[in-house]
Amino acid sequence: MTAMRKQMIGMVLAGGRVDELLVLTATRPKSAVPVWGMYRVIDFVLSNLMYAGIEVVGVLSQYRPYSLITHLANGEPWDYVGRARALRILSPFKGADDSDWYKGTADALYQNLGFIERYSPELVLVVAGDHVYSMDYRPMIRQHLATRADLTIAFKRVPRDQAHRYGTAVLDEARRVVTYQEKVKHPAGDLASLTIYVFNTQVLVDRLRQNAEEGRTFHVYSEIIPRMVEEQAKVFGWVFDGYWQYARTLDDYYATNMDILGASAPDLAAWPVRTNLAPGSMGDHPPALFQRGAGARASLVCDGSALDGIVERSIISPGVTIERGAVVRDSVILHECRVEAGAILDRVILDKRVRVGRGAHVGEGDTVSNARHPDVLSCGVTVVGKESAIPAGMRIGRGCVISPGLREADFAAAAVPSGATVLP
Amino acid sequence: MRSARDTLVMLLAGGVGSRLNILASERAKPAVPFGGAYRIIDFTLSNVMHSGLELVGLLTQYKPLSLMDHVRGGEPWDLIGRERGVKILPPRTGEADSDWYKGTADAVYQNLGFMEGYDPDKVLILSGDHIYRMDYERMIATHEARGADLTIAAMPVPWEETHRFGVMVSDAESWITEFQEKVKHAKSNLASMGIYVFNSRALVEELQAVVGTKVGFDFGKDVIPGMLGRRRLLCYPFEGYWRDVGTIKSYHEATMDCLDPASGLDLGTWEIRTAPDVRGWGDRPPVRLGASATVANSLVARGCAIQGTVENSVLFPGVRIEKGARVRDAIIMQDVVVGEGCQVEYAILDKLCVLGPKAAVGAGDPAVPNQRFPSHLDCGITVIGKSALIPPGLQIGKNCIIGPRLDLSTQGLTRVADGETIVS
Repeated sequence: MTAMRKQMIGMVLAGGRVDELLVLTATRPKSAVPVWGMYRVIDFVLSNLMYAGIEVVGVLSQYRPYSLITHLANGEPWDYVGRARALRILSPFKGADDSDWYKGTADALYQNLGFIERYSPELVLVVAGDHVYSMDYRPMIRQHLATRADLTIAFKRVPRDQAHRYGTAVLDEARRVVTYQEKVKHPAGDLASLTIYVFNTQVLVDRLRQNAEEGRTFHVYSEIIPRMVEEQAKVFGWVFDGYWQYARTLDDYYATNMDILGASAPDLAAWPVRTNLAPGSMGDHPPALFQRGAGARASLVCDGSALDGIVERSIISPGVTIERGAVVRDSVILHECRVEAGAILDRVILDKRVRVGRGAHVGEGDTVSNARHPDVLSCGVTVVGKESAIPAGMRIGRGCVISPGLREADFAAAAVPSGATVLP
Repeated sequence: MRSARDTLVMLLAGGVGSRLNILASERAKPAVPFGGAYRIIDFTLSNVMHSGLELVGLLTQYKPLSLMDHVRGGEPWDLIGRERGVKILPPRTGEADSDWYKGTADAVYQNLGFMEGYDPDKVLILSGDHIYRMDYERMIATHEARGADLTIAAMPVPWEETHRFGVMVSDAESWITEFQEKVKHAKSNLASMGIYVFNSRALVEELQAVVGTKVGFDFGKDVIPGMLGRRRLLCYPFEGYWRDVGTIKSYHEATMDCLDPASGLDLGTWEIRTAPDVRGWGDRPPVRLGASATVANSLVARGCAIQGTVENSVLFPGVRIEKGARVRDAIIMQDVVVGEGCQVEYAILDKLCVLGPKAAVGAGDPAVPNQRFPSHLDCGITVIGKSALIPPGLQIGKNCIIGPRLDLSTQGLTRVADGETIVS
């Protein structure tokens, strides 16, 4: 086993089902949701792991993993190839006694202790696969070793009124965690956990075994960490002050996409995020073609798109066609959509391969929350599910949710009022 | 699919491309960048892939480094596997002499040992110098069906261009009756595209008789004319887009054809693959358009950041066009910086050039040809070599050549006159 020994391995929590992204996660886990035109959310974490020099990574995945498995391609896009380097998707499997799905993050890790132990690492870096951020893990790892911690957690300071959405901590002067609270109404601290954990392997193994026997929710954040802090284990904090986003709701997802157009956008050229460039996702598209009718500004535009209309403050993913006279404003257009001549999109998210017919107008009227899902879609953005076809001349309001795969005939009326949800 | 046993591909990629002047002074012609994302050889290798051929011998000679980096083992074109691949065949020292390839036929002759290892039934000989899309499978099938010894692909060219090509006369059944290599007054305007399907045995016999006895070293000049009347030589007419981009003018024209699918060169449907080299456009982020950007009738590759105005131009990965700069009818290669307020028209800027603020390139009188290389450059285009530094405010006229890596800021210039050449 010595030949396989690694100082540290990475475990990515990528399996979670997320209802709050509605139609965007109808067919993919959140970690596989496209962001910033050419990336998928998990690309950020995998690039971070690659840059940290971590040679073995396990990806824990169970919810609709197909698009994730295709995208990860055995790790080749992140150079996880070679005889001693590996990126493995760890799906639930049938054990001798039970065939359970992962019950939580701690359970998922527990069921894969065999994978961890195979490499006898001193440290295990556990990270969530559904956050958008570029981070150099190495200073955090150095602090972990210097403080001889059992566990080091990365935190970021958040506005007080947002802190209740996160696990939060209070650190002492030595950066030791003295209080940890998981999503409480009035937290004591404003340091939000980023779900980035450096564990001493033995501590992790012991805690996972304990949790498997005594746990209730089988989650790292809600059980293992609070208990470690309570029992005064050596839990330390590492404070990160770079860009980090957790797109929990559709409102968050839209805001995260728009962040890349703003002044505080992370510099993607300075820390290149890798993605799978294979055909089907990114590859083989020619450079973006700006045609004679193109007027594009303050936007991000990907390969293979052909623009002949107006595009402002928008994200244009690979292979998108914007025909002559169409107008796209403040919108997020995913791969291979077609916006036909004269159509107008204003504050719209189109999932992949949506077709918007000639002269259709999507996103008109005043800002309205979605009536069925006001808690996750209140910013007035209208979302159209994958591969739906919006009929020519159709008028769709704000805050609407259009289900995936709808045909033109599925639209009963010529207009969809703001806040409505169109189901198959 | 055709295995190497059926049809082996020999791709001649040693071209010097001297008429491309400084664009090909540090790279072989097949490695010259083209179309915003590609190198010229990508077109031929993509044709090989789409035609279902499996094994390619790549004959290199002149400055092969960037070509070898680019092609690697063939994996960008899925030419990878136990019986699939691209094998690089550099010139090597033989028993008696250690000569470089003396011509196209000599290059193949010197690699007969490589060919014999696969014992192919047919050999497809290609060059890596041309922009076209062609299904070689149809040509090979025609060769087989007609029982030819050699089939040559041909297309009509303008009569005034015939002196640059091998031309052929064929009978009503397409059998070739005459062949003239680069003669002043050609009998036909049906030009050889340098694409040959040979029966292996005929190829070996002819090469041994002609090259083996040092009678001649070139297919067009020596081997093919000698086969007339003795062998069955078939003309395979090709109708479609095909360009020899061997001159600066033809290179510029073919590049501009990329902007208009009606030209016949349609990157949107040709499915040209290139190597996603990390130094090329591999991990670069999407195109970023600033609030003041205007881009029309242009092709823009990933990693570009545009604040100024770009028209009728092709931009390779990582180009920066600063505020107030105007770029027209230009080809701008990887990582060039066009500073604030610059004017660039009808110019080719090679990789990594930097134009200081308010520099102007390409304004002047197109009637003054380049004084030093009048045959290379008389169409008005100005060419700036790789990594050249153009100081702020410098005015460079038309038909100028600025050599690679020159730092003009140390030369106290304010103006480079039309037709001038500055090389180290």
